[in-house]
Amino acid sequence: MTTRVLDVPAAGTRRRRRGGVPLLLVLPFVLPALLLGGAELAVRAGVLPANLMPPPSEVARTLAWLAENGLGAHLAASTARVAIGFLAGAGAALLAGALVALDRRAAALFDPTLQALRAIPSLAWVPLLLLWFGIDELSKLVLIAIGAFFPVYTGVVSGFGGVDRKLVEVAQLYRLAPLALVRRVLLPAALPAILTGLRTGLSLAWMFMVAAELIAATRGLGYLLSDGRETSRADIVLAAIVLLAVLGKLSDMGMVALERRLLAWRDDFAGSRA
Amino acid sequence: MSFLEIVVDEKRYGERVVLKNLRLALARGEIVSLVGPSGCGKSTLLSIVAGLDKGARATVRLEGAPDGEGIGFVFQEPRLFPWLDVARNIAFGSADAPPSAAAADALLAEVGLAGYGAHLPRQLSGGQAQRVAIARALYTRPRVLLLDEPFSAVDALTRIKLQDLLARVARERGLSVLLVTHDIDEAVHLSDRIVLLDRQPGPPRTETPVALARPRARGDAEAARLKAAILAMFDLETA
Amino acid sequence: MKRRTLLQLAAAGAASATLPRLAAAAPLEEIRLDYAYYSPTSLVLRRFGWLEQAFKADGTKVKWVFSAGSNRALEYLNGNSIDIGSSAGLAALLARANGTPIRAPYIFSRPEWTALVVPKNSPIRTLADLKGKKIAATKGTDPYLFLLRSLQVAGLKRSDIEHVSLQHADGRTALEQGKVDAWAGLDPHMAASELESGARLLYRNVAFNTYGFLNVREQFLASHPNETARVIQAYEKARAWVRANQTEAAKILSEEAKVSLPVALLQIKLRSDFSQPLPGNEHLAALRQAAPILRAESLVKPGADLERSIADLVDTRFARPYIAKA
Repeated sequence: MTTRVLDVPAAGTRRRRRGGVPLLLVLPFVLPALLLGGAELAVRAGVLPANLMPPPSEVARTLAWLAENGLGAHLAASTARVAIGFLAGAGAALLAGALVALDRRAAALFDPTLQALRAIPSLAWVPLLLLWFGIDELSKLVLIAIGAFFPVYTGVVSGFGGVDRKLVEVAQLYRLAPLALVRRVLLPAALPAILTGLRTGLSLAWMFMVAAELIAATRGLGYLLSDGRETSRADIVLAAIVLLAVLGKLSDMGMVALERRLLAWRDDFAGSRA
Repeated sequence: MSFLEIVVDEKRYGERVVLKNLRLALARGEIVSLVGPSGCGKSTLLSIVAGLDKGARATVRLEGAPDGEGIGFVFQEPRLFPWLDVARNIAFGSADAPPSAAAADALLAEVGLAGYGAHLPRQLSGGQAQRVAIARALYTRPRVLLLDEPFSAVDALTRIKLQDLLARVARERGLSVLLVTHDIDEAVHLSDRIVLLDRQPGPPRTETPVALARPRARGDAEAARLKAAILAMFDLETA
Repeated sequence: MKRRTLLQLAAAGAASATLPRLAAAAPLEEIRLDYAYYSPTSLVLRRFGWLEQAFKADGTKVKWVFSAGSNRALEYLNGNSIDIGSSAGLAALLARANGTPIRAPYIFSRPEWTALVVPKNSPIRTLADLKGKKIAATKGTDPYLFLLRSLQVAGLKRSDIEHVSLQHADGRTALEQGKVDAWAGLDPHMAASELESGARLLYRNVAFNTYGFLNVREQFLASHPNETARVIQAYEKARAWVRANQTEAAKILSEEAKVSLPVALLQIKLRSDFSQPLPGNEHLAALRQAAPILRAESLVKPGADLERSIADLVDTRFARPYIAKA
């Protein structure tokens, strides 16, 4: 009889790359590096025409130039618009969603109309908002708020609706007042869905901000984007896109961090792999 | 008047009548098990006593306590709030004031989980979670404890430990206990009286006193005889 | 009138007969060009179908794409959505300097098509009054560049005013609704605003208007010079017709642009000059004079060689054989 020895690593050891840099930290950068490097080479070799696809090196130079020529004002303008619009839209959605989720008559009154409005694509709102609110900040902020509203509203309604009935029964044993029930049980239980809605709402707020700024703006990343388009500066267009991606990603990372802190108690697959 | 008096005139789900003309009384410190075939309304009765079921024509009177107070409940699942740590789960019943850490810790020690106050529910095993559920039910100092198949979801060894815990806690506090269970062994081991509900809505089919001396040993011959007797009544039922 | 047209047609026909039969690229399936309200000649050409007739024998289809402004036409050229597009000269230079591969072999008009416009009762009286005000202008077009050059006259820069980017028609609306204080206008919208809402031209400067350039994609010009030549010939036919039938041309413009006849007449009779279609020194000089603003307002990439771009853009020789004697 042959004996086979299992090669089981001793408890507590883990494979590490020589040099000490864990693979999981390096992997996120592989694709961007490949794409950027490929684009640079393709343009330099003449495979891609430079007037359609400026090489990444040129975009980097443009970013540096912009940084010294008023980029801060553009960034501030766009970020401020997103922040205000998102807070307004998300705030309204939290209230509306809670109302619809907790009161059946309010649900019958408001939800059908809101669902119909939700189906309207963002760009369809633009002419109407321009007509009613003009080309100044108000129309842009309203557009952004509309964009943020619906994902948050849906998150709140489904979050409250999806609360485990068993937990609600426990709360009923304590004869909690309705407001206390919402605050102490329904809200924490619905929080995962609400935070997901908030996260989606934030990324949509960025999107709607760009749409608003493309129409009529004097400052901002959307303005920069259209500026590049109208003066045949594809490098400015790409620079604006890069900045939008970065800002969007940063704000999303902030939301994820918030999520992780508030939802550390969750017992799910993602947490078990951490 | 008894310590706990329950009168159910009628409870129906839609067209189906589940409970009817049911009278049940518990003395102070008495442990009663409710057994019966599935669908006979045991859990429904418990919900009515707990005040969770408002749609029944029934009265529940607990001596010296206004409507609904003084009653604790343990469900089949632990039903802990996952976002609260163990201590906060236990102290959930303290309405406004900051929950008493000392009281929660004392209860934790009593149920055998000293030092687990800062744990999250997802870190607990099934048996541990159910212990916390018991501690939570005891936090508001109830005089009656209702349990709905509380140990059916844990393994046999844990079940035995939890049964012993329940017996000890009930005795030390002089609690009246109404326990719904499918486990006849459990009923015989824990109760002073076993109430068998009929499949047909109506008064209990039988009420069997359990006069065994405490502390009770398992595998006792007398206990086995009682169990067989009760099971026989079940069989008559299904005939 | 008809006889003159016939004579010109004959002359054009004779010229094309002498065209060398070039071994061009594969026969063209479709030729794509733009039409715009700021180029009345293009509207006439499209209305009468002369291009379609010219290309019928070859089976080449003609596709007309509407251009809402120089910015659009240049964008379409850059993205290879059209082969031939109309724009202001300075706008074309800007595009060329930023890499758009185009050449301009033909001038479709010399317009005074832009000016700074203020509403009827505006308190703004001089260029200096514009400081800090909201001014609508379409980026990448002659009115926009006109605005910048006018500001320069008063010692102001783009950052001294609040520029609102709106396409030409929307800019007019914004002015008339009081949402902006001034507007860098473009005909026919500008003429319409003057005649219909009483808007006032705050500042005019013929020299700051940089001609109407007919731009061709470099690659198209190189691979299909024959077809390009035929387009120019057709444009010549239209140009002659417009000069001889100004009122009729205004009618066509008024129908297409949906403006009143007086407005169209204002644009064509008073503010357009169709006499000089071949790019020459006059046009080169105008571009050279205008070029610095592109650098001053950082519209071109740093280090752009504008002299070189002017030379690359303007083709003073290609169209010569096809221009009918005035």
